[in-house]
Amino acid sequence: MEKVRDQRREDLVRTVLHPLVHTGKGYYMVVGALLLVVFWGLYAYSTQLREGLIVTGMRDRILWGFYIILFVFFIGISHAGTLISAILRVVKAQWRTPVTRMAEFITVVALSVGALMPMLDLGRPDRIPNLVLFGRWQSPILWDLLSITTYLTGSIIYLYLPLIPDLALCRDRLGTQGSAWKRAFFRIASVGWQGTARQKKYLKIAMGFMMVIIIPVAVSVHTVVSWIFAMSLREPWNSTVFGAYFVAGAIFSGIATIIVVMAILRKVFRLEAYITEKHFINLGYMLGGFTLIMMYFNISEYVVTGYKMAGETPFHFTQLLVREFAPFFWMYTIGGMVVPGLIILFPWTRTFTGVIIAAGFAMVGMWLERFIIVVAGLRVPLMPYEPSWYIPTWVEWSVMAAAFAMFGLIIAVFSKLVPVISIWEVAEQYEEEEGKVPASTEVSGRPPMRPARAEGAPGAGGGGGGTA
Amino acid sequence: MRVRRGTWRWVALLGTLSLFLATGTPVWAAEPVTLELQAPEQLALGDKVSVTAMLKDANGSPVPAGTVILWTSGSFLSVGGAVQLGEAATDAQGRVTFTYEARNEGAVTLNAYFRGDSRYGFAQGSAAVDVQGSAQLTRHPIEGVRVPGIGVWILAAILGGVWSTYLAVMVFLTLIAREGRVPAHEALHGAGGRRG
Repeated sequence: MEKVRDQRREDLVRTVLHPLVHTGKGYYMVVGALLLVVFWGLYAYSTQLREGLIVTGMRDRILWGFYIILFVFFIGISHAGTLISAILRVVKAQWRTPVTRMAEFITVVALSVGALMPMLDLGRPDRIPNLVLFGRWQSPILWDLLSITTYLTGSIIYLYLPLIPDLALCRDRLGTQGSAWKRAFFRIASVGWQGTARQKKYLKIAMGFMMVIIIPVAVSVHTVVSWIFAMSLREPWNSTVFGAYFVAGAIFSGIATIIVVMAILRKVFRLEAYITEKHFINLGYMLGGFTLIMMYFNISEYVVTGYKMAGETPFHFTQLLVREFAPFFWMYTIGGMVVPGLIILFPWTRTFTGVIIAAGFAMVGMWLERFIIVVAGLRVPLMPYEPSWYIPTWVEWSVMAAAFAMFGLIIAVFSKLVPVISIWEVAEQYEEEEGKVPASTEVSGRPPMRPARAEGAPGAGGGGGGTA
Repeated sequence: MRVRRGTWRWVALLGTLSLFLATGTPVWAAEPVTLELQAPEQLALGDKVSVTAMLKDANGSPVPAGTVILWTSGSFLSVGGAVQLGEAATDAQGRVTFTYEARNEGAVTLNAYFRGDSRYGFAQGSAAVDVQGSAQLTRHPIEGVRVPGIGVWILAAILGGVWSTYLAVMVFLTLIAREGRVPAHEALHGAGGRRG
């Protein structure tokens, strides 16, 4: 029995550590392609820097475009990661263990990419320091800066803490298999983790602090992002539910992103034994739940304002429901909410593939939702002038492609640097399943596996996983 | 080296030609014009009056179809500059009329200019207006709700709380690192640790 148990853990370690020391040709090709797109985006941005914002489709009447849409989109994605991870940890959901690491990492990556977007939106990026030097406390932009930096810092800490035991495992198990800088990284980043009782106690307390504090911080960030719109004097943004609406939308799009990213990493690194269909179905339930919440917010928002039809609402509703934005609006409503909801609702479509398709629909739908909020909102004239239109240029398309490529690139690099699954937490879950350790033992140190310190330790990093 | 006299002639001719081409319009060809701006000297705040500009050539004859721009100095959010009040073409009598509403009290200088065209040169004129009144008619937005006791400090307190938590977490991280400096066997056995 003990032997079987050890074998199970050994297989887990082998499979998860395998990508850290074995890299296939396909990986380099993917990274190369992503790098090409990123460089193309940099070239497009350099054109914008040289010639000014005139090379974009933004003008004085519709002054925000793809950059701000992407900002809201990526910040949205970032929320789900931490929120899902923190909430699942707080409620001690057993199935969370293979999911949390990816969720936490998506948060950090999406937040980093998203925070870049407002800087790209500036015609004079050299004036960014002015935001700090001459920022006004009354401005939602300054609140945004403060909340995003606070959230990014918190998310990095929250990602790092549960990584420590796994980094120590990499330090001990990979031995000479990794490059010298990688070994140095594992040695430094594992902060001398030995798995002692005190270390476990300290880690448990630190994680307890973080999992509680990160939830209100995450909620506040997207609320503040929504206030950039809601506190502007624009008819379509006059909403008191924008904060909650944005937070719900953020979690919804974040769950969808986690599902998609998880499916890719599962396939590439052959993690089918650890990230099972059950995990996708559970995340699918969460996605379905948030579909309902999003529908509720949309109905509440549009029915209330549509009933009153005050000010510029008739213009906004016409462009949204039957005119210029109708294809986007209905694609978002039906494709982004109804279709994913129905897929999750019916047992015969609520499958592994079904959940991934629903997540894909939700992601596209939520991007369109941000497009509608930003562009359609700005299109409503403030004065009796001819409504303008926004047509993104090749520069904006290129930068958007580069942003998504950068998102993928950082995830690809990360997956080669640290385990994409929290090994010690999965191992701890095994223990709980086997009834070896009481459920209250949250943080174990080194995973209960053969503690070989291991140059050439049998199977350390070898076999089991794919060569991605 | 001796340069032939004919060469200098060519150089002068080409130089003049290039200057001519560079400037586009030969300035010496423009006929001088005058622009006279007429406005009431005294106004009460909120008055709407007509301001007339007359564009005449050197002989005092009216210049029709000349575009005249009326402007004054203004400031918005502490940024000063010229504020264009109107733009219109002169009629057959060389006259153009604008409607001006006195919105700010005090001395106001109204300015007008004619940019010039292929025939006439640049001209400008101004008129001083004294606007009397006790209130500004420019609308200022009403300030948002102010909740007593809630200000920047509450934002600073919330942020301070969050960053203090991060700091506390960092302290625990330091403790983990310090614990790791102890040789593994001592740490595991001495501190009562469990090696899994």
